[in-house]
Amino acid sequence: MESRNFYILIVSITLGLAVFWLTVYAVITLDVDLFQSGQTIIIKGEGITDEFTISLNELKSDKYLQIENQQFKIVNSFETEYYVIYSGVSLWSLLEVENLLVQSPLELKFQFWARDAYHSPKPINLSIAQNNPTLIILAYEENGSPLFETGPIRSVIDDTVIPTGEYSSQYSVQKLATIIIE
Amino acid sequence: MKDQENNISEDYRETGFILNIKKITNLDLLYSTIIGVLGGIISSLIPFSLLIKVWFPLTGGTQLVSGHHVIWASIIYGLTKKKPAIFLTMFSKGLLEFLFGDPWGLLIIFVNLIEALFLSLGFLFMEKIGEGETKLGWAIAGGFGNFFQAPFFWVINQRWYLHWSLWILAFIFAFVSGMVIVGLLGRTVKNYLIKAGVPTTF
Repeated sequence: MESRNFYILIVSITLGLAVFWLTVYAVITLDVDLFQSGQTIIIKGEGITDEFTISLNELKSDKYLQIENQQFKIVNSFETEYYVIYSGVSLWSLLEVENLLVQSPLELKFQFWARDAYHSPKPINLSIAQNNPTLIILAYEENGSPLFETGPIRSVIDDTVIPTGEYSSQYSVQKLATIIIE
Repeated sequence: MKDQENNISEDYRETGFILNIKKITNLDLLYSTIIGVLGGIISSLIPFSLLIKVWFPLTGGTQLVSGHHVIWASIIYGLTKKKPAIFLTMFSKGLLEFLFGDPWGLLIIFVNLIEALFLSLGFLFMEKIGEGETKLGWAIAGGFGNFFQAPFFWVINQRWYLHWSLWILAFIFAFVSGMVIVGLLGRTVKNYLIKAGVPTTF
């Protein structure tokens, strides 16, 4: 019995150490900012003038195009379609009003990153946001209520503007923390 | 009197433990349904992942509480010691999740049944090696039962673009959650239920 318990202890310690070091490795490799405020998002990358930080309250400002209670079509990788009503700010409006871009949107791509190191599968061309300002948003409300479990901000892209072969659910990034534009 | 006994044996099927074959009893069906419905409601409506998000920073960490989806199956096994009861419970639970509008639709019932299969295999294996009633045996069986859904959903979600370390962490968490919640907590709950006077059917 004693040797059995000893083996259980050894396996538990090994597992604990593996989890600890894998977590540290992931945080460092993926450049996760553990201390970023949950109420802000950062826009950064080579495609913009300077790193730009904006809070949830500022995002709701009327100087940006606000999308209110609009239905978005989302498709997941199992090809299940569902519709959700979101309110949020237009991504393109934010970039345009703040005059953040250093190049034409045709030459730039954007990617969403969450606070927990989840990210949208690949960078997509920014001209899609320019041509569809009401269909790519940074949502802060779902069905009229502030985002709770998935928020406070999440990216939402309507499935009608998503590139072929991609799934809009994978670009709806919960707990949005960073937008990288390159 | 003799005639009456014959009538009884003709009108009613014997249930319970007969000739070394375990038959499903009405009480088993009742337990499976009640616990399955309870599990379906709790799995669908309570955001357990919030418990993890406050302290583990990375995606996949919520797997640490995923065991609450399968604990119902280990409790029912403890009360009935019948593997078909595990399937009945998980089917009831999957049906409830489907009716509550699970984004995966009917697939969620399939996932619940596969979890039932792996948990049954886990218990079977543990019983074969003499660990059927120990904490270790229950923990490993629970780990097997809960592990399947993590790689299944990560593959079906096509999360190839996520870093490999996140995949490994999610899988480890799914197994550990199965060990702690499905196995150890399930065993403890089962013991307290029996101690409280809930009749077993084995």
